[in-house]
Amino acid sequence: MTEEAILQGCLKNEAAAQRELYNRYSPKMLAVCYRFAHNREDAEDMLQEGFIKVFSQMHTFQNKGAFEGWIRRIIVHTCINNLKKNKRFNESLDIVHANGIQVREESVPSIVQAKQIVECIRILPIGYRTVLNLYAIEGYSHREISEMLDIEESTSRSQYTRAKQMLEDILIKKSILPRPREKAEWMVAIR
Amino acid sequence: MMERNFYSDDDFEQLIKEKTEQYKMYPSEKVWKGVHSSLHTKKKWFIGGMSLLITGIILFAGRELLLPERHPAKKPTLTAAIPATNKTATENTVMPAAFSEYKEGGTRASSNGARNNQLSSSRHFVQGAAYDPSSGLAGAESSGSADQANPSGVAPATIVTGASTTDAFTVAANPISIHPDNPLLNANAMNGREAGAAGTANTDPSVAVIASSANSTGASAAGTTLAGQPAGTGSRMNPAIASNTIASNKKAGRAARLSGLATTNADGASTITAGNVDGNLHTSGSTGNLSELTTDQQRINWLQDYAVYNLRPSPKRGRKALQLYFAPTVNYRSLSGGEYLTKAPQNVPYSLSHPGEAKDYVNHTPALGLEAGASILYRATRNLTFKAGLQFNYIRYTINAYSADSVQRATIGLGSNLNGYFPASITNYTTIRNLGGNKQQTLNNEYYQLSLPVGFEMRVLGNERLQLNIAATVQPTYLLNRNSYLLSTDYSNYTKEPSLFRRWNLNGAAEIFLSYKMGGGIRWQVGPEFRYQFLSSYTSDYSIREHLKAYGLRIGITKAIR
Repeated sequence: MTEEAILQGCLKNEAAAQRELYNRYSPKMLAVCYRFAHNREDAEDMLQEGFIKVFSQMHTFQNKGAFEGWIRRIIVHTCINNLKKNKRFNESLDIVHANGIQVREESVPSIVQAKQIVECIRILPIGYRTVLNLYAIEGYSHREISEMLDIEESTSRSQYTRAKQMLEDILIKKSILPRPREKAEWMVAIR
Repeated sequence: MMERNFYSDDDFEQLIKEKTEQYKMYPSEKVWKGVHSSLHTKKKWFIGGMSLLITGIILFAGRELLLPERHPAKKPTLTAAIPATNKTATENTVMPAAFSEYKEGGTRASSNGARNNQLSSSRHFVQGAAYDPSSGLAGAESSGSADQANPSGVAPATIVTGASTTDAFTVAANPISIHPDNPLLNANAMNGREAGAAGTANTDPSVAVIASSANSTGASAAGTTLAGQPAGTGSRMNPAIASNTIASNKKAGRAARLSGLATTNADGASTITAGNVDGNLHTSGSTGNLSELTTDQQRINWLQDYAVYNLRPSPKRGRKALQLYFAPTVNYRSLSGGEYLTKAPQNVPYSLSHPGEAKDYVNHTPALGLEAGASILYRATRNLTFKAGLQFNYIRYTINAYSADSVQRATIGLGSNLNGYFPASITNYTTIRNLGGNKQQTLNNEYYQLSLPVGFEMRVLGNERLQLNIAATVQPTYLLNRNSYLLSTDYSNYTKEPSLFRRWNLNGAAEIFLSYKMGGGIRWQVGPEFRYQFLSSYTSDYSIREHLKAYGLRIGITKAIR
């Protein structure tokens, strides 16, 4: 089915079109949710809630921009809302706690793959992780992040700086990323 | 937003983004099942459940109203109280006229005023008349002056009720002859006898004192009392005897004692004193004969037994009833809250041109809905009835909004606004505007509720047929489904957020109605009602509060449950 046909079918609430759309985008969207969630079960809950909103608000898609981007935006906001509702996000903005986190060697694979980097991102405290996801991966501005997370813009910037630093340290420690002096050669090699 | 390039040239950020984009995870099947059931199955179950509920109510109510259960009057067994017939004179058990008529299909005498339940008014004993089953009802009438209360024309006697009388008759002076198979007379006589054996005063108020009386003109007949019953010893008629042939027949078990009370005539019949059942004792002043007793006795028996067996007893008025009702309603809401008392929210887009409460910025209008339900009523007193039931409400009102071409963020602040900051918020995207847009759009906010109304009805005015009543109920309510839009914190946009709706709520209703009772125990009612939702439709996290209101015209039908 073409994307247009899927869209029209979903607008008519056809189950087949909805299933097709779900099959096309759910793997990538679950990965998005997994980066925000505490565990896989929470990620699947976010995914389910997000797709329900996608299908419910299908009529608001204006055909301006990519369909995937529109779905992704809904999924991300669903994840953020879920974190705020469950108060998981508020618990994580504790910088002292974040500094005390010990990285367990066995939880981070040594092979440089997408999964390893995602897992490393999930090691971060949820506040750092969320800001990092929104800014570095999803492309939101710090102003937008501050509005979504109910924090100051300066807080968003500082959180991101610390998150990036911490992630770099984890990836280097686990040999997923090379040390800075070796970085340029490594970056060329892995692409 | 995704197209804007906010990334720095940092290779690290680029690497992270590329790698995470490559990463995919495949969800379990239960995720899709959850999505699908939320979009489709819920509606099916909801529609199916409601259809089943409404069908069940209609079927049950229709059966009660259109095909009420009939409870035919039970006829007592004819042999219940009658001992075995005995041929010996000492065991005088007789079949009263009525029984033999049922048994043999005999004819019945007509009687003036026979069709009534007032058994105390027309039973007469005629002294000297004995029952002959083989005879017809035609027979010699007793002598005596005619009396309106005495169809047979026998001179009536008055019952002594405490007042003294100089008239008295003795058993010996005025015995009656009965057929051995007539326990009715025996029993009545027995009761008369029991009033007093020879020389014993009758102190039993339940036993009749039989005294002859003047006839209608005042002339007194020969006085007669029960043996040993002194004159003036008044007592009341044994109500069992007076009103129930069956009861009197049950006393036939004492027929054996008749042997000590009756004397046997030459023809083999026994003679005993007649009993009095209604204050009118008919005596012939002589020993009487069997044929006269037979005729009038048959008439008496027929009247008594016809009333017992044929006339349906007046139905008992039950306390329970089933009520079905329907009400078209006009639904509305009252909005409150949303005002920012301390400071405008800093973390939510807020326009300083929007001070005040949310209700000042919303344009909404009432719309039609409906209410339907069934209740069980229990009549506690004549004027007060308690009720409980099940009720379905469809509530709807419209919001005048605008649609726009671009998608905007609709942020809903959660919790209390402290110094301009909401502790949490929910952000959605929408094209529906509240304050202006490209074109007008009407939103329908709909609620589907199931309630358990519990309350009372009270009659204020009127009689049994036409009444003015008031009623009130408290209704715990469950929100089955809804299709409603919420206003964003800045009053600019409308969005949907199901998690902010309260599932359980409490409603109250009051009504005043006229009711009219028709045949078959059915009562129709019509009148206005008002329903109000006590708790807000939204959870406490949402700063705006909504209380639904409904005005309706309730039409109901009530049927007693027997």
